[in-house]
Amino acid sequence: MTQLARLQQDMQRCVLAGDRTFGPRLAIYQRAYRARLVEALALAYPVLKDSLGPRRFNAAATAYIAATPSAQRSIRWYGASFDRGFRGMHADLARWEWLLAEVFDAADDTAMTLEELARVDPAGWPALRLRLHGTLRFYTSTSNAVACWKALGAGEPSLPVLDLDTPVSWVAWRRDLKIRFRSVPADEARALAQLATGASFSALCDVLAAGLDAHGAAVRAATLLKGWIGEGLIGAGPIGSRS
Amino acid sequence: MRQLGFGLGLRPEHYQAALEGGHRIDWFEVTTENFLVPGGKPLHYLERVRERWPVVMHGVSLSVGSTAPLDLDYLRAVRELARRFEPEAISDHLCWTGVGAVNLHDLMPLPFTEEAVRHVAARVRETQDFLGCRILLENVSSYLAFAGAEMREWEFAANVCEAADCLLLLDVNNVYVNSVNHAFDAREYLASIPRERVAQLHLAGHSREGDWLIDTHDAPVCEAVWELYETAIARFPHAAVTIERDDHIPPLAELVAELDRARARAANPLGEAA
Repeated sequence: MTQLARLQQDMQRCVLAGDRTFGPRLAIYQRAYRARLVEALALAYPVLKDSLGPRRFNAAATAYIAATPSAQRSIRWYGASFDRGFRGMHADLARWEWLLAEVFDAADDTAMTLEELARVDPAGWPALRLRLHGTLRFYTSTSNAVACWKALGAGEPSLPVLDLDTPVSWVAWRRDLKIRFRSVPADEARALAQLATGASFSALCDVLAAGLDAHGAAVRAATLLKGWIGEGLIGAGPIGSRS
Repeated sequence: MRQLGFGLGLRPEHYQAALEGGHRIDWFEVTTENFLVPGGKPLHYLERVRERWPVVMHGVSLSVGSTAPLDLDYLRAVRELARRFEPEAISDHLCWTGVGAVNLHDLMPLPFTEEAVRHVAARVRETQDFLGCRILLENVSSYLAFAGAEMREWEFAANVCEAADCLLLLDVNNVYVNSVNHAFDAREYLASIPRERVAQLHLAGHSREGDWLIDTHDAPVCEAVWELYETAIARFPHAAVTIERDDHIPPLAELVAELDRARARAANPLGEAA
């Protein structure tokens, strides 16, 4: 090993461990390392920080930093597994805030328009394959994390944390550079998940068939599809029996 | 690198105001890593900005001084971004940021040794070959000095630039900060750097932590740095000039006023009203 390599390894080890053997002047780098990562976590999880309060947030951040040296080229992605340090609503809240960051930076995509859909020959509908908008992400919560997130984000008093008997599904996506999200009923969540696998419109109808006849399922599927396109949940592109 | 004039670091807080124009900013410096994302707002705004102004891509994660292998995935992403936005130049720092796949997210100092000059210069050449252009390296602030230095900081910077045939992004604030931290004459630093190597100057604010000055980019440029800047711009008159602000970011107009001051003091080094 060269002298330079040894020096860098020693110095890095001391920065990561908060070790003073490299000399007292390394303290500026040690403090800066921690401060920078705490700041990155606070930027990624502003509402989680509000919800926990500064003392608990800093304790969680300090534990995460001690266990997780950064391997990211951009500090923005440092907190990818911060949620694992929490349970219940706070874990949900962490996952939600991270998911919104992913939606923010997801690859650009063009949404399908209703005009595009109108060009499809009715005979081709059963075999019609659609794709979800590239920025769309699924999220399931077993607590009222999103409601807490909304209240805290709006500067309102924090809500009491509730665990839900039935998990709630959400979708978040980006439209005109803005993040959008909403909860989705169970059958719609199943239908969207089906679309994510590249299913055809007839497969979509099958998913929605529970408690409905074939016509009712087709009507429900068509209604959902129109709504999704209106909201920008469906990606544009050649329509048809694409794979 | 052609003469670009006076530019500002582009920050998300200023995307909209920057695009509104009418602000006497000649070009923008963008933090490369902020745009190494698949899509969304940052790339959207960079596209709009690039349609009207030159940009320089300024990275913080090249880690050109590290003894870990060069991160070719990172370089590929930088090259792809450069192909899309055609920057006037690509720059990073004369430092290392980590070894063993760790990123300390800090600009760690290098020892001023022949070994380090050879190592860094070889990596700069490799980087330049990969990117297909000469890069600019910025001198960094430091808060410790290594025993066994074989040269002064300015000799180290000049030697790397010569050996690698790269350009220097001379951060005037960092020269000042180090001159206080390590007790040297900042003007000797400037006088020792070969004129033809300096393509860009940085100006920024710093803060004090005990006996040390820290390069925090969170305050206006202080008078001592303005005075040093006058010496620098007189010696490197063709260098592009940038003001950096990364924290306590004021309205754009305030930074434009600071940039006007840089412009005026370049034209009139006595610092009198232009």
